[in-house]
Amino acid sequence: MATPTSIRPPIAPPEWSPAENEAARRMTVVWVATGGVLLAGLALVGLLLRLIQSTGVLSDHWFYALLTLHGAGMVAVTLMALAMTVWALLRNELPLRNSVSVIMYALTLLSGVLVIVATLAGKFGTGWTFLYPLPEHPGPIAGWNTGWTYLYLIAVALLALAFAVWGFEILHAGIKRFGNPGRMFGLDIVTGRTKPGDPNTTNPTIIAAGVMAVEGIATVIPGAVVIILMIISNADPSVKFPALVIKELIYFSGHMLVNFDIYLGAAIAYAVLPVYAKRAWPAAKTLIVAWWVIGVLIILPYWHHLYMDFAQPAGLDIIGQAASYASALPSVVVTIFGAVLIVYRSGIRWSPAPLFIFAGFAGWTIGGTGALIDATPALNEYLHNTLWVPGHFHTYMALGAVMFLLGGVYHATPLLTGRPLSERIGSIGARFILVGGWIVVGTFFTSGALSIPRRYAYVPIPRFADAATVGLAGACIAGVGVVLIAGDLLRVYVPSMRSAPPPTPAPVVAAAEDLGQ
Amino acid sequence: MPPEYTIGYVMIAATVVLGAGFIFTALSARKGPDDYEPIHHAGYAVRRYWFVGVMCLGLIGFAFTLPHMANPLFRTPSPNDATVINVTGQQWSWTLSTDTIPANQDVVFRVTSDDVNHDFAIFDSSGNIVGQVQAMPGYVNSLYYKFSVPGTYTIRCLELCGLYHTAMVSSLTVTSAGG
Repeated sequence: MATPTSIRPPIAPPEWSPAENEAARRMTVVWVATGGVLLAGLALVGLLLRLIQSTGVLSDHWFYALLTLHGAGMVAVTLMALAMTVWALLRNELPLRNSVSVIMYALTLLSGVLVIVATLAGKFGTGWTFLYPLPEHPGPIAGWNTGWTYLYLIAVALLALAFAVWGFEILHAGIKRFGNPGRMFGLDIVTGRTKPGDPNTTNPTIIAAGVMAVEGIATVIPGAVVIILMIISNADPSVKFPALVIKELIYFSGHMLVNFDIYLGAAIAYAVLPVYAKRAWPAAKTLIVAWWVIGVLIILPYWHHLYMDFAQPAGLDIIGQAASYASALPSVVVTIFGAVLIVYRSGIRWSPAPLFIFAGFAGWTIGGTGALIDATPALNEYLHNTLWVPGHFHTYMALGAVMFLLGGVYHATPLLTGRPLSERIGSIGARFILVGGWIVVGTFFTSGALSIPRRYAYVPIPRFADAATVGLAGACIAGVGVVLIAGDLLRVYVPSMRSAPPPTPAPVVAAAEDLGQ
Repeated sequence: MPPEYTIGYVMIAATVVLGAGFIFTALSARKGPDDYEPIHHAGYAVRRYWFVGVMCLGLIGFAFTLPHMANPLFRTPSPNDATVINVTGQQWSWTLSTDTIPANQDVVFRVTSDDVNHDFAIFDSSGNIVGQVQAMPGYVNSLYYKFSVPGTYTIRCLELCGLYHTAMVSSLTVTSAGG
């Protein structure tokens, strides 16, 4: 029978040399600065899309190219920015190698450059989901040359590879730190051999990151298959593959990638919110089991993307609905409920970091509700491919995952650069983003309920006009917040890339103040 | 009321209730800091009911909506009664074997595509979707529907299919029964 003494003693947290610390700090600063610029730029592309729909200021050709850039860019940048924020938060607990961060940065940057070139230079405009066989079959009046399709497909493969590398490194470092996967994922706590909260045990951020790491690696396999098949077919269009099978593979991987965003956001929230609420959020048994359940259930709901493909067996539709509903349970009952408890009557001061994090929980919950409605086959018939879809995913992505990201960045900035982002600009920017953002998603949902199609460069439906105008106004309000925060981010981060002020961790400052120094 | 509007009102209600919950919690934080232990303890007791409540809501929603899904498995009318309309999508137009049908007649649209994925969506005269199905190359998807209201229905493509996706419009006339 196992006793506490039989457990392999934990390997101590990593002790980095000053040079290693500085190299990692600089690399993280580069990640944050790049991610901040790209996210702000892509958000403004989103604003431009609404402007085109309202005013026709640019051609359809540009609309679909920018739509693809906005979608692919946001999925990629948000994913890697969240993953690297989790990385930065875990670096003092897991031996994460900076050389791997450099490799991921190179892969991500190259992927981003290829997407930008394919869309802006090549006008590649299939939407980020690149549904087969559209990339190789742009139509009688071609929106793009199929040569650009290769660039886009390779870009997608590079992004998936970058995330898989992240996954391998998280697992490698976690197993190295804890001695075995069981302890990394909290098996010792669930079996009662170790108490939650023990400094030598895993924590919620590590478990969430670990589950996403496993899923990220699993996603690469179908993703690679689909990319290879589509490259072959693009080279020789006489080679045909079953469109339904390709769609299944694309949506399996695409659904997973987007879900990683929100779950990585939760991983950040576990690390940040307790600091400001001054309440512990340990890896309790229920939380650990909830993440194991998420690890299984995240795989199954993707069939809800194919409800309107009646060639798909109805049994898979039923599984898709059941799994979509079931996958909400661990989040709603454990993580979101846990966040509410942590905040309730905590005396928390709503500085930007906790404000963004808690706002992220609201976006996740409400966006998730819209997603569950759409994941109901009987209702999907009325909502599928309408603006309801961008309604729910902008709610949990822009007002959920990106809020978690900003919360993590505001929290980590003093540790990375030696000085904080402006609290005043952050608070004002947050209000602009939240007010404008909720107006935008409100108009998306309203338009969806009015059966307005998504992905229309020009919407020839009169009742869309008011929603488009209000949505544009909301996007402009949110845009002010985005510009304010991005500007402040550059103000703090750019000098920190050039010179190397020794990081001044907030706890050190607090300790010094306590000592009257 | 069209189903879309009902869905919209449900979403508004859910947003108001959930949003109020988050705002209430955020504002409650101004009253602290309270000792966490009793809150934690009480919260865990409440969570059991929350878990059961959320699960029941999901089960009721699942059971109530499942029989209404659009998949032909749940909607197959008697083949003898159905009027068959063959539909083919291509960049960027629709070809229908007929564009006029009588009201109150079971109709089966057999939908496919000659090139890329399209989405065959039928809008009533008010602009609300009454039914849709994907048009996928190499597959035939059957959409069953009975038009009870005569008039002109608009067909649009809802799956991005290239540069002139928005121009892929056609129409369907539903005449009074027998007329």
